[in-house]
Amino acid sequence: MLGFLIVLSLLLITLDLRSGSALKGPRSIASSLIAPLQRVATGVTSPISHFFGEIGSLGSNRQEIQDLQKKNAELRAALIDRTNISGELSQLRGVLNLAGAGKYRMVAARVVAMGSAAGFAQTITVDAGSADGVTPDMTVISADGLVGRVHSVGPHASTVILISDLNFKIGARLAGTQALGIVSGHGSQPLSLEVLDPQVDVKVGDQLVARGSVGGHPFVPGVPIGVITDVSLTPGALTRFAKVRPYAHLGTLDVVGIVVKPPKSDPRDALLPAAPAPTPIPTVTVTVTAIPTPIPTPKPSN
Amino acid sequence: MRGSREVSAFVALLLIYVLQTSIVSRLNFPLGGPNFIFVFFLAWVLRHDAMWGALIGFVVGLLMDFAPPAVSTAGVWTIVLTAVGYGVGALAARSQDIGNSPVVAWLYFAVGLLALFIGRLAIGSAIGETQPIISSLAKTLLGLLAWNLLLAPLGLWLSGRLYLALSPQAESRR
Repeated sequence: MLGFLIVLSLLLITLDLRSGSALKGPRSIASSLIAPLQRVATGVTSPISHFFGEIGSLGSNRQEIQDLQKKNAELRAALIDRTNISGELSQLRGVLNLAGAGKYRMVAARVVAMGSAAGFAQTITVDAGSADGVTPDMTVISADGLVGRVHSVGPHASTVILISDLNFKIGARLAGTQALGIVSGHGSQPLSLEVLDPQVDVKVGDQLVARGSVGGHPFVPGVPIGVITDVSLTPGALTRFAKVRPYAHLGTLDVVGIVVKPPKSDPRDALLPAAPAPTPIPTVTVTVTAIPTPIPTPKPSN
Repeated sequence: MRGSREVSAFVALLLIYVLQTSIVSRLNFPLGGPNFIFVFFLAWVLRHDAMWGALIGFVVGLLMDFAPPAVSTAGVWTIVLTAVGYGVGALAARSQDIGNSPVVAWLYFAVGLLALFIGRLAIGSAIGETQPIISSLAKTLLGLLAWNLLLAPLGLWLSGRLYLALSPQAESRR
């Protein structure tokens, strides 16, 4: 019995490794069955979890008249609902702005599930699938920048690999230059950048954009990826390494955009957020003026 | 009777999977947070023998390999959970009275978690998956053990209640 199950498992691994498309059917069926449940669970529990999060701040005024308490709770729930919706709207507006600026044609989607078992993969499920025109290997963006790429697609849901996933790699370009590099995910650790040309000057604060793939799949060009936070200087190394903080806030994703049609021209660095303005350092100038001290003249002695 | 009990347990597991991926994973717990799928799986396998453990592991593994948002190579979790289910089931079968030995059950639970982690890494390496760096691995292992061992007593108690509720005659056996 154990041997049979192990052989079956090995068969699955072999099938998936040799031909990923062979198991598309089962994945699609699983997606059709599970994603609607995840959507319902997210829809139902999102306001409730916000509500319970807020209820602690209601204070200790529990002795009020029952009617007032009930009304208060109802109003608060409505307010949380509204805050929740306006938060999602704000994210959606941001995604639309980014897509508009880059001339990407995109499909908006809500995140209905997140994470995978034991931190071995960084993924999300979104509620847009093949029925919405989504196919595997499409770029996924948020209001702030690159989120990941579509891995597998069901009829009404898709699984997205996040940029923090261990197997995620993307060709990147340093903004303002032609310097190319490869950005890789490291799970809970920051992203890393491997700059292909060791002679290129890389410094903290440099911004990265997606270089783009042929035909815009899996990555459309110009999407902001992140900013360099640390540079490793290894003398004699063939490549240079740097740590990168992604622009997208991967832990708080609610609404994302899936780019279904790449732009006709590369937006270059047009989508990058404005670099932080340098804070002026006040200079204090002290002018010292010498005041001549009158020298007391000795009194003539008689 | 046994079949319907296992089907009921699978439905419970399906709901746990949905809750885990839709809610728990999005709460941004430190060190990754608890994994209720593992907690329920190990707690449920501890009520069975090696053969049933392997079969339960196989079914749970299939769910984890195919259900969204899974992206790993199909069969990886299946093989790991089948082997772990077999091992933990064998351990549980050797201890005649595991239902009344919470410390032993908890220790077996810890062994199961460690085996899951090591097994997943080993199979991942064997098929050429990119492996996390040491600090990331340590953090993942710490989170996996800390959160899930903390929840193990609750998982064991709940699975015991479910087991007895679905098969009253099992009370005399366990």
